[in-house]
Parts: sequence; C-alpha cells; structure tokens
Amino acid sequence: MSTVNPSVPIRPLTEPVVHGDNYLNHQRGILSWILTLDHKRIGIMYMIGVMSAFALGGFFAMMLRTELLTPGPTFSSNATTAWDFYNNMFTLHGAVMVFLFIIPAVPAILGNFVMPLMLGAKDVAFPRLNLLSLYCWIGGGVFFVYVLLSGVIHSIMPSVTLPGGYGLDTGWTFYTPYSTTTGSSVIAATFGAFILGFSSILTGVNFLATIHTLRPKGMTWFKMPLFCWALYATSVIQILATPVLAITLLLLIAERALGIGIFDPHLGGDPVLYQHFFWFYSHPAVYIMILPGMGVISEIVATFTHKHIFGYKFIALSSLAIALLGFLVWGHHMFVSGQSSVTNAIFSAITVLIAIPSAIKVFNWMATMYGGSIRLNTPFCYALGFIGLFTIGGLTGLPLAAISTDVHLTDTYFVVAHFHYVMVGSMLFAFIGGMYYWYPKMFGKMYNDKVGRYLCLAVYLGFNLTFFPQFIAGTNGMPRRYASYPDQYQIYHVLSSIGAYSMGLALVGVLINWVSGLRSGPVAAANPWGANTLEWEATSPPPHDNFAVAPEAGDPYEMARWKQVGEYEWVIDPNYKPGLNAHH
Amino acid sequence: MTHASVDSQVPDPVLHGPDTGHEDHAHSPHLAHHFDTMEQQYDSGKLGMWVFLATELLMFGGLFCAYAVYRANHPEVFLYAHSYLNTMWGAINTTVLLASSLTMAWAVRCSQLNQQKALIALLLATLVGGAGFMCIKAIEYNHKFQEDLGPGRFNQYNVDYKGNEEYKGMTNPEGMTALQAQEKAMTPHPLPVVAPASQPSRPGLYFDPNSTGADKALITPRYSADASLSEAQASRTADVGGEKKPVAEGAAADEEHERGVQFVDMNNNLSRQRINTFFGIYYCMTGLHGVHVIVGMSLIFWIMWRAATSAQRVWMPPLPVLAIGAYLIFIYGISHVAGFLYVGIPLLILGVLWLVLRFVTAKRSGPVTEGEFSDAYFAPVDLVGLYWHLVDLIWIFLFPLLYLIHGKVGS
Repeated sequence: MSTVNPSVPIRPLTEPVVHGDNYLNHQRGILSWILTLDHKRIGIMYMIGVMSAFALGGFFAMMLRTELLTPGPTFSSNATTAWDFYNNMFTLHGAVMVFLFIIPAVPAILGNFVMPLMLGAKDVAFPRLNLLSLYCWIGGGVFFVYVLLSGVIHSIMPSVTLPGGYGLDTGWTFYTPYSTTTGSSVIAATFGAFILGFSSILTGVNFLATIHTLRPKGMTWFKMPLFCWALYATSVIQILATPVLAITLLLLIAERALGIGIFDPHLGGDPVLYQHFFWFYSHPAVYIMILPGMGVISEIVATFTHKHIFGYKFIALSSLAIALLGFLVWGHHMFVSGQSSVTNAIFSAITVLIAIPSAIKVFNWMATMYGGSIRLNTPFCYALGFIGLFTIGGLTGLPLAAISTDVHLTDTYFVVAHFHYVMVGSMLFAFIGGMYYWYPKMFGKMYNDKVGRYLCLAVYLGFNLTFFPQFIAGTNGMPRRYASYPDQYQIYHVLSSIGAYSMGLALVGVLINWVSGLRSGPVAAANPWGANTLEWEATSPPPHDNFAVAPEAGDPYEMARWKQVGEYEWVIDPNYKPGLNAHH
Repeated sequence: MTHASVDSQVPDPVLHGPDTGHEDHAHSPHLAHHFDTMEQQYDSGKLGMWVFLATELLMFGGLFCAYAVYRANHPEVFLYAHSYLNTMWGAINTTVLLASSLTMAWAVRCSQLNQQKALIALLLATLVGGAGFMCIKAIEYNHKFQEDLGPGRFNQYNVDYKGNEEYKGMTNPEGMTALQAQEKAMTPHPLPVVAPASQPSRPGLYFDPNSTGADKALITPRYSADASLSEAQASRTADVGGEKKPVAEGAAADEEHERGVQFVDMNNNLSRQRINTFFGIYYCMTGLHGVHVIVGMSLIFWIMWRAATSAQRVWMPPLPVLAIGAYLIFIYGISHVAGFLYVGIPLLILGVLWLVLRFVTAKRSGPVTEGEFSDAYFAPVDLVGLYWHLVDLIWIFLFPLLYLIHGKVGS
C-alpha cells in the first residue's frame, strides 16, 4: 500500500485555481480547440455536441408524445400526413438518441476527460485518433442533420425534390424490406450511422490501448478504478461489435443504391438475415450503453458512502462477463421472426444468464452502502435512482427473455418501457450523475447541490410517470410505433405524455443548474468529494498536462487518505498511516 | 512544456534554429510526450494496430457470413455462378498480392537495419504490386460489365435490370400468375444439357438457349441465337453433340477449371434472383477489398514519403496524380468508355507538369535530410506493413471462396 510520498509535489489545494494555467485557458482561439490533441478539450467538445443531440432527440420525443395524446391525428388534419410525421418522429428520436447520444455519452465525454487522469497519464494512447473520433462523430451528426432538414424542407415545400428522399420513417432498426424500398432518406441516415460507428470503434481502440499500456507503475489490473474496468469492457464490445454494424449498413446502402439483393426478397435476398446482422451489433451495443454507466455508479457509490467498494473483483469481472455474454444473445430480438424453436430456446437461456453479472453489480453496490457514511449529494441521488430503476428495467427484461411471455409482449409498449428504464432510467441517470460528480473537476466550479437534488427528484418522478404506465399499456396490448390506438389506451398515453413534459422541464432545469454553476458558482477544490482515484489529485480544472509529476498509484478506494476541511473540500491527511484500515 | 503538440518531429534547423525545446530532457524526437519511453510507445502502437486489424476482420466477417449463409442454402447457385469468374486472373492477383506482402515485410526488415535505399525500393515494389492488383481488378470488372454482369441492377440476372422487362412482374401479381401458369403448363421440366463424357472439348456448364423458357423464373441466360448476343458472347461456343452452342463465360475462359464440373440442376433450383445475389456478394466482397487495397497503397505512399530523403521527395508528390491518370487511361483502354479518358488525360498532364515543375524548382544545393526511419524508430513501417498483410490475407480467403468453388453434382 502506498503512503503519501513526500517527494511527489501536491499542490496546495486551497489556492484558487480557476484563473491559473489550466486546460481551458492554456491556449486561446478556435483553432486551438478544433485542432487540439488534449483529451480534456476533446471531451468538452464531445459534451457540447452530444448534449445538443440529446436536446434534439428529446425534442422528437416531445413531438411524438404530443401526437399520442389523442388517438386521432394531431399535427395535421390529414391523417396520412400526421402518421407519416409520427413515423419520422419516432425513427429520428430513436436514431439520434442511440447513435448520437447514448452510445458516445459516457465514454466520449466522461471517459475521454477522466480516464487518463484516473491513470495518472498525460493523455490517451493515440491523441490524434481521439481527435479523428470526434471528427467522425461530427461528420455522422451532419448526415443526421441533413436527414432532418430534408424532412423539414419537404413538409414546408413538398414540391422540392431532393435526391435520396426525405426524412426517415423506417424505425431506428432499418428493417428490410421496408428500408430498402421506402422513399425516405435511408442512405443518408445509414451513412451517417456508419461514420458514427467509426467514432465508436476508434474510441474503443484508443481506450483499450490506453488501459493496457498507460497505467502507472503500481497500478496493476486489479488496482485500477472500476470506471476504467467498465470502459475497458465497453471498448472490447465497441471493437468487436461495431464493425458488424458498419458492414450491415454498407450492405443496406448497396442494396438501396444498386439493388444487389442481399436483404430484399424481391431481389432474392433474406430479410431475416438483415435482422441477424443488425442485432449482432445492436445487442452488444446496449451493453456499450450501460457498462460505462455502471462504472460511473461504482465510483459514485464508493465515494459517497466513503467506503471501499464491496466486491471489487466481482464488479470488475462482471463487466467483462456482461461484455462477452452480450455477444451471444442477439436472437432474443427475433423470437417471432420465424427462427426455429431450438434457436429461440438457446437465445432465451443465455439471455437469462446475463441477469447474473448485472445482479452481482447491484448487490455489490448495495453492500457497499451498508455501513457506509452516506452523503446525499446530487451525484449519489442519481446513483440511487439508477440502482432502483435499473433493477426494474432488468427485471422487466426477464418476461421478454422468456419466450412464452415474449410472444405476447414483443413489439408492445412493454418493450418500449423496458428499454427506456434501462436506457433513460439507468443510463441517463448515470450520465447525469457522472456529470454532476466530475463537474467540479472539469470546470473548477461548484453547482448548487440543493437545487441539484430537487431536480433529481423531479427527473425521477417525471421519468416514472412517463414510462411506468407504458408497462401496463403494453401488457394490455398497446403495440409500439403506432400513432393511433383504441380509446381504452388513451389514459396511459396521456399520463405518459404528461410525464414526458415534466421530465423534459426537469432536464432543462438540470442544464440551467449546470450553466449557473459555471457562471456564478463558487470555486471548486481539487477534491470536493473525498474520493481517492487519481483525478482528484489534479487541480480543478486540471492543467494542460494533467499532472506536473505522475502521481503514485495505490488502492483507488482508500478513502481514509483524505480528510475533510470544508463542505466540499478534502485534502490529503498527512497523519494517515495505511495498514490499519488497508483493504485488499 | 512550451509546445502544444504532443508528437513533434525534428524541427528544420534552418528555419527553427538549434533550440528545439528539448534541452531540459533528452529523448528521441519521435517520442510523443504522453509516453514515458519509446518502448512503451511502440508497444502501444502495435497493440492499437492489431486491435484495429481485428475490427477490419469483423467487418469483412459480416460479408463472409453472408457468403456462408447463402452458399449453404443455395450451393447450386454458387457452383453455377462462380464459373463466370475468371480463375486465371484471380490466381495472378493472388500471386501479385503475395509478392507485394513479401516486399512489404522485407521493407520492414530494411527499416530495422537502416537500409534506406532498399527500404524505398521495396516500398515502391509493394506499390507496384498493389497497382498491378488494381489493374487486374479493372480487367476483371470490365469483362463483367461488358457481359451485363455488373452489381445489382447492372446485372442481367437482376429483376430490375433494364433489359428484363418480363421479370419485373416478379412482384407484380398478374405477372406472377402468368409465370406460374406457364410453369404449370410445362411437363416435364426440361433439364439443362450436360456434356456427354466423350466430349473432347469444353465439358462444362452450358444451357440450351432454345429452351422454351417455361422456367423463366429459373435460369435462362441471355445466350439466345439472335442479334442481341454481344460479340464476346457469340464468340464463345462449345460443341454439344456436334452443334456449336454458346456457353457461359467461365467455361470458355477456363477450360482447365471446368473440366471437373458436371452440372445438373435437377431440382431447378437455379433462380435468377439468387444468381443476382451471388454477384452482389461478389462485388461487395471484392469491392470492399479493393477499397482497402487503395487505402493500403495510400498508407504505403505516406511511409515512403517519410522514409525518403529530401532529394527523393522532390519527385514524390506528383506520383499519385500520375498514377491515377495512368490508371484511368488504362481503364479507358480496356473499356473504351470515354469518361475515363476525359478525366485521365488531364490528370496525367497535370502530373507530368507538376513533376517538371518540381524538378525545375528543386534546390540543387543545401543539406539533404535523411529519411525518418532507422533502427531506433521504425514503428510506422511495421504497422503499415501489418495493415498491408491483412489486406493480402483477406484476398487469400476471398480467392478460393469465390473463384475455386467445387461442389456435388445435382444438389
């Protein structure tokens, strides 16, 4: 175990650091940002882009929930136009949220910013590749913006002809043969997703090499913070799964552009083959989404219970287990596609197995909290929300994994509610919690924590109001992707839409909370939370090179090294002697 | 630290003066500042490249998976359709790529041993190999396009093909009914003709072009004895029972290969849609591979630039322009499509002019800087070599899977 090494200079942590030389003011000018190789700046630029994408996806969600308030057409008096508009809204909501927001969010923003700091390194292994990943993200985003604009132009000026079509109405899954024959701009959207895939792949390559080769002396694999383990498992999935999406989308583009006949039965192809290809990526993709979030939660739970994480090795290895098992279960999206019962049974059995490593994590977090010294700051509120909502989301995956119930629930609102509980209730909460947790490190300012906690409650209530009625609607038979429905389902849709508006408002509040912290919040200390991972030994915000001298790595959860000197200020305890409380 | 970039090259001493900003710590100019040692940097780069190669394998893996699924389900289609591919050109391509892999690996060794001239020469040889591959690819593709065997709707077997008006009814209910009525009326199903064992020449695949076409959904190649036959098609014939009949391209092109194949479509499983799918898979696989060859060649050119001395760099930049111009003119030469000439000739002229300009304005005196690679720093050559080997390896798999298909009779 390490002691505080007196030869490693630790800056006095009470001096105001915001106006010192940090990564934000190290160099000025737009070119120094666009051409930067600094992982922290790249993380900030991703943040701006990804959060804008979230706002866009959220806007589409508001539109589709508004359409669903009544069974009749809402956005147009002509029913066909209204239903076409609805198809575009749910497709764009799904595609933008999945490809532009949730897959990059934690790895590209928090992973980019925090991981090298956590490893005591100066940057990721391949900084230029990191910048290329950012450019790929922006490039992919441009294509989606084009798709959106084509739809807008077409609805305003229907006589204008655009090559490739307008809008996107296939669903984010682009199932053939509809996607190969529809008039919407499928090629632009899939090409955008193809480029975004490379952003994901290159980030995965980068993080994997970083974790393998840039760990400091003393940080063996099992002394690495759990956030890094989560990012490592995510990188493995990004590397192995995303290229399959890339080739699937290329084939889809070739099918549409040239008519090669791989997926379209009219041309001799097999539409179920498309589903296999698509889900072979998209199922591991959901683990790309959730694993980094689970890593964030591990960090937050340990910090705010001021305790060593319980079951470190189990959590670390369960990340890998989820990553690997996730490749074996794609067929559970295809139970009713006509594949054989044997295939269905095998996929069902393996799907149920994934609950085990997920539950291991949940139980370990709860065991960490037991007997800990709990502080209910905003990040921890979001972590608590995560744990409860992830449990619900995970448990509702089981009726979908079991074939006998899935044949009734598939393509109903039950599925919609299930994946929103894991994607929004869990992943979004983890992302927001992580943002709140590392906010002082990233910006050197503190936000209003009390307002943050109230907003967390508002988001939580709004979220549950939105999606819980959808479970009931789904079990009662309401199909997904339908713009209209029989009257008996209206109550569920109205509740859900009210919840959506409330959650939207609360999320706007979160943004205001962050922005006002930037503008008028107090200066943050280097370690406001008393955590022991290495990023808290850098100043807030960190300097351009992260650390003047590489910090020495010890146990990442040895909280007792720090002592609290202010409400949001902890410093290294010079009297701390390891050994008494040392934890393996 | 005063410099912003993390990876700085040796600055030009003429422009930047002797102060490189490294006086406080001595290290190789190629060491990026976020690495502690050159060894760490090299290991990191190696790991990154191998992981990236894994992603490329998975991308092609999807295509191999599609190939496997379709071939397992319709082996007769692959057996029949592959004969349209020219095994000779495919084999030459394989040899060319293998040789270029040899020169690439040798180049890596040269960079490790400080053999600068050999390094440049071998990188150039690798580029020549890649260019040769692309030329043969152009010949093959051109052959196919001229036979209406292009990808997707440029393929005579595609129901959307411009000449196949009668097949557009495949999704048209009335058209389908008519086809089904025709099939019902036909008893028994006529089988394609197979060469008798005593046939001295050209045993292989051919179909009776005068079949009454009741199996229109099934294979009837456009080899009918009328004026619509292209010259190339009309010239390929074989003796069947003493008569000259047109044959499938592959059989005529590769007698050796076809000798062992006897084909009987007993269940009339050959459907034109599926043949179209074979060609779709063929073009996607070889096309994506071709894109990777071009990417690989660009990377090798970049390495050649870095390995070159300042004297050699004088004539390097115009080379890609010249090469592309020459390539386009070559394609014009084999295809006679005017568009290639209109783009190729200006590029060639531009390249030549640029080359002359560079020679004329090159500094005749002054220090000649060495290439960047030595036994202390050769990682980029190594890593690009890995990429090129992967490109070669993928072709090694593609060639037998696409060109060397043999199967059981009458599946």
